[in-house]
Amino acid sequence: MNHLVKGVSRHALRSTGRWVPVVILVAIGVAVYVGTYTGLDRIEDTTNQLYDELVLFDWNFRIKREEVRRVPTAPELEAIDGVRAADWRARFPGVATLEDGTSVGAVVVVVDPSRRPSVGDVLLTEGQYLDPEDDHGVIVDETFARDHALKPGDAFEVTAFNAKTYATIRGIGVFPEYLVASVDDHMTLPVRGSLVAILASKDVVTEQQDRNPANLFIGPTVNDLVVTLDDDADPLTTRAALTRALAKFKVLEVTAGPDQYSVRCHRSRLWAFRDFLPTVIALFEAMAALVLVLAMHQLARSWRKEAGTLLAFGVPRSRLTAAWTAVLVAMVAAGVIIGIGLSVPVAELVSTNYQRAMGFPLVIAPRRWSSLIEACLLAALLVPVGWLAVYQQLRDTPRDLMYSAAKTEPPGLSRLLARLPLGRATALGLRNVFRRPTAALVTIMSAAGTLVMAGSMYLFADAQKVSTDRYLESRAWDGLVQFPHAMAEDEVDRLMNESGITSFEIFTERQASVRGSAAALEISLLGWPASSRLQGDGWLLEGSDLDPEVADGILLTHRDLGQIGAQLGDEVAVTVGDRSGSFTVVGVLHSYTLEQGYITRAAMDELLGEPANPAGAMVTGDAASISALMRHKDAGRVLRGETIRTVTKESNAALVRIIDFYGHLGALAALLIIIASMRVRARERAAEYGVLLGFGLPVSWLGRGLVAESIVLGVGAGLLAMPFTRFATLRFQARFAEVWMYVPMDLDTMAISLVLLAPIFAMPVSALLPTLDLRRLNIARALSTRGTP
Amino acid sequence: MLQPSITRSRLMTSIITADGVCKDYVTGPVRTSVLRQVAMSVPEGAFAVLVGPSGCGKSTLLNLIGALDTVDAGQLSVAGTALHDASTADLMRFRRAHVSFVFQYYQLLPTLTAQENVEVVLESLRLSNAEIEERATSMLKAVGLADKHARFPGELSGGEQQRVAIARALAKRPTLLLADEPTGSLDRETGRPIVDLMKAQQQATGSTFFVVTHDPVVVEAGTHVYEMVDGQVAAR
Repeated sequence: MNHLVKGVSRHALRSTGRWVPVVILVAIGVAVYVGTYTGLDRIEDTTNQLYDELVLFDWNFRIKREEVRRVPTAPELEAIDGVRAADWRARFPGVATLEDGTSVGAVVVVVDPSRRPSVGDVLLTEGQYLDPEDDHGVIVDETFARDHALKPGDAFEVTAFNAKTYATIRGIGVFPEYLVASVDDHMTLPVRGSLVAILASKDVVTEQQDRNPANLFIGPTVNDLVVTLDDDADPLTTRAALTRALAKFKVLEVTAGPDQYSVRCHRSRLWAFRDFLPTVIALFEAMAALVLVLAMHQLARSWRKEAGTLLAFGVPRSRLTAAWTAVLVAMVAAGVIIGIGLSVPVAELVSTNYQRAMGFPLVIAPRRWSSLIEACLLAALLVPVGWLAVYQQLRDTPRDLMYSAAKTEPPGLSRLLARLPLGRATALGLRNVFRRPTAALVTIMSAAGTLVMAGSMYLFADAQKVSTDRYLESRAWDGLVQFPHAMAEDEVDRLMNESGITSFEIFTERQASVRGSAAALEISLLGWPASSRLQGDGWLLEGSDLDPEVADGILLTHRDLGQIGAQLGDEVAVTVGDRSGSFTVVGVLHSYTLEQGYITRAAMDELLGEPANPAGAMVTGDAASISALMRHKDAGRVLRGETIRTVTKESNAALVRIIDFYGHLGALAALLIIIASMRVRARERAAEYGVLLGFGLPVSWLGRGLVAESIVLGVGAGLLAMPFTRFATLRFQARFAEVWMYVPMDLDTMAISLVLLAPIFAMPVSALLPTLDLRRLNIARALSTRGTP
Repeated sequence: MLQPSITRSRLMTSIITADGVCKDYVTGPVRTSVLRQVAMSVPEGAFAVLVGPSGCGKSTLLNLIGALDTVDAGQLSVAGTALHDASTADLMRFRRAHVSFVFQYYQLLPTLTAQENVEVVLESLRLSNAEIEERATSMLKAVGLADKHARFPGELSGGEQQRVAIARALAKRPTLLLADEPTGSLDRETGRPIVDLMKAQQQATGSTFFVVTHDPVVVEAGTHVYEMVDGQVAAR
């Protein structure tokens, strides 16, 4: 049996063009699968570790500011059944202004510096914790510090409660509530970089509070309670108990830990990534299975003479099949091993670029190769598939010892191709492609499979870039203001004038319920200035913008429409409080923000039965006026347009890097497959090339034929890849970014052609190696037909 | 009996001159000496036949003469070209200009028709397409296959395939035609006409034929017979 396995192995090893594509496909599939899941698992494990170690809250109660002596103490709250730990803090909005004048929104979390918080701690990555002796020492979040190249010891200005003070960075750290960079879910457009999380001692804010003439409080105040629950506590029961404990106070908002914006953002992005992987892997599995069947069929067929000899000597067919199965397992195992090796850099790439794309502060969890077994099992599924091909071939092998090299293959397609008016070298190359259609099919299909991966990844990356451009186009403003309270329009005018802003558009906002034919959904309804092109958090997929002439028009996102069972042109019922109205869907939006709709300001006023006060404004102005606006005591939260543009481009670039990497893998694999196939095809015809060289034909003449052959194989692979590339791209876009609806079909076909042309033109490179091989060909040995080569 | 030293008069009419030619083959750690101090001289225009037991090195010597392989030691001149000193490019030019081959297993290209198999080797001669076509057609006619020019090798019998191979070899109008067991895979009935054809063509063209064979029919047709024993050649 050992001899059998040895003989079969050596035979298989000689035919590199047949087993190399299989190994490559399996290796890439394993590398992508294991590497991507490992990278994402590492991110998720880091998150879970941080949530655990830094004690992310289970419930967060935001109340109207109260003196700390009046609220229930932490021990009193921890005595409530189900509550494990409780901590009070003060959380205030503000603005941080750096030395270079850059202003960023800030959330200042004030804690007792003499101890670490029992809920919502910070992981220090640099510097030290707060010190009761250091009045102005603060800890800032890692992403903010990295984005602005800050280090412990640096100072910046903090504006809160309409007053400024300075803060000095004592430490830089990671906050569990701001893992996905700094986002403030109270902003209309939460986005990374929209604010800095600052952990401060009470003195930083007390100073400002004291200077505020409106400050009527005596002593420190709190407005934010964070609580963790026992493992066996019922969340709703405990929430109700806590609500009762806070009955004397005005509770403004209650948030569950999983609903905290950063947590939701992080989870949804992670799962979006995981979501499109099964499509990639399914593609690979199907392609690898097909290529394996064809390759094993070819390999076993090329061993017919040997098989016939052994069968004639009485070796059982089952032993031959077993020997081939051993080779098959070795082939798949080789692919798995190589793939596991490749998965390490893939995992690193995924976690690094995810980190950059999402602004995730750090990756500390060890790698977990849990997907390894799944990948091995998926690869192992290929073995019975390949076995079937071998079994079928060996079953059909006759006990025929009489092998004559004088036997030549039937003309097959050669007769058809003989009619083509081609040069002799080209004709020879072309006919060599089709003399064994199955072998050509192995090469074409395996190259096509990898081209599909390459093409769909490149197109997906392009779609991402287009998506980003559209996203940025829809945000041409320089700043987005969210007023701290309902303001009259003349107050808004004053605010803008004092800040030096001359151009702005006001919008209003209310929480509303919108009902379609299937369901109702709670949304944030914006009363938008219809006079200008929509520049909110989305762009138009179909339909039209809001029209001042159309009073009952509404714009909704395509996802929200899907949820409520409505589409363009349908009527939907909108309810705000106890007032309702009927609106017609005039436009469908693509938006990254869920549950948001747009009607005209006039329509909002009509719906409410009274003029709605401005909730915010889009402003146009230079950096200085935006900064002035940010520091204005009445401005509330201000988001810089520049922040969004910079962050969006960086995030997209990181994401595109991952996608492009997968594309490069695919393109490289396609080239390797064709190169390997071309070499083995040329080697199999060594005797024929020896004859032609013996008759004095130059190597360059033979090279022309090989180039023609490689071009035909490449074009065949490209044509086969084209429809599947489109399909795969659609799937990735639909599952991951939902951008397919706006990418025009005709542009895609052109893009696909351009994307596939590049590797096709690179295919002739694959003719280079076999041509060089011919230069070194020992003609005498190639022509030898005696004995076993 | 070894050939006595070669006289000057013989050198002037010899198309193949070998003096002390050696060739070894190395397979892993094993070194096999195939040709040992071969000395021979083949006159121009001869139908020379080389016989010898199986595995004695006949095909090896043929390959060296045809510049398909290189000598390890000694001197080998063919058609005025010192092959022992020639570079790879020189050997290629030599083969193009002077040599054609007929193989035991025909070695036709299976994806080309009979006509195309003959035409393809003429590509290197810088002839026009019309000239190439004309030569191929006339050679196929000469070997009696004019009506089968469009057939593929798989559609021809062994004898017919060998005829195509001969037509291919002769289409180049070579100085020297080398044949390795040309009737080796044919039966006697098929092989004799092939020998007759080769003989007739040799006489018609005046080319030198050098044939390696076991076939007594071929030996009978030869004008000069050489025997190889233990890696050395002697004229019979």
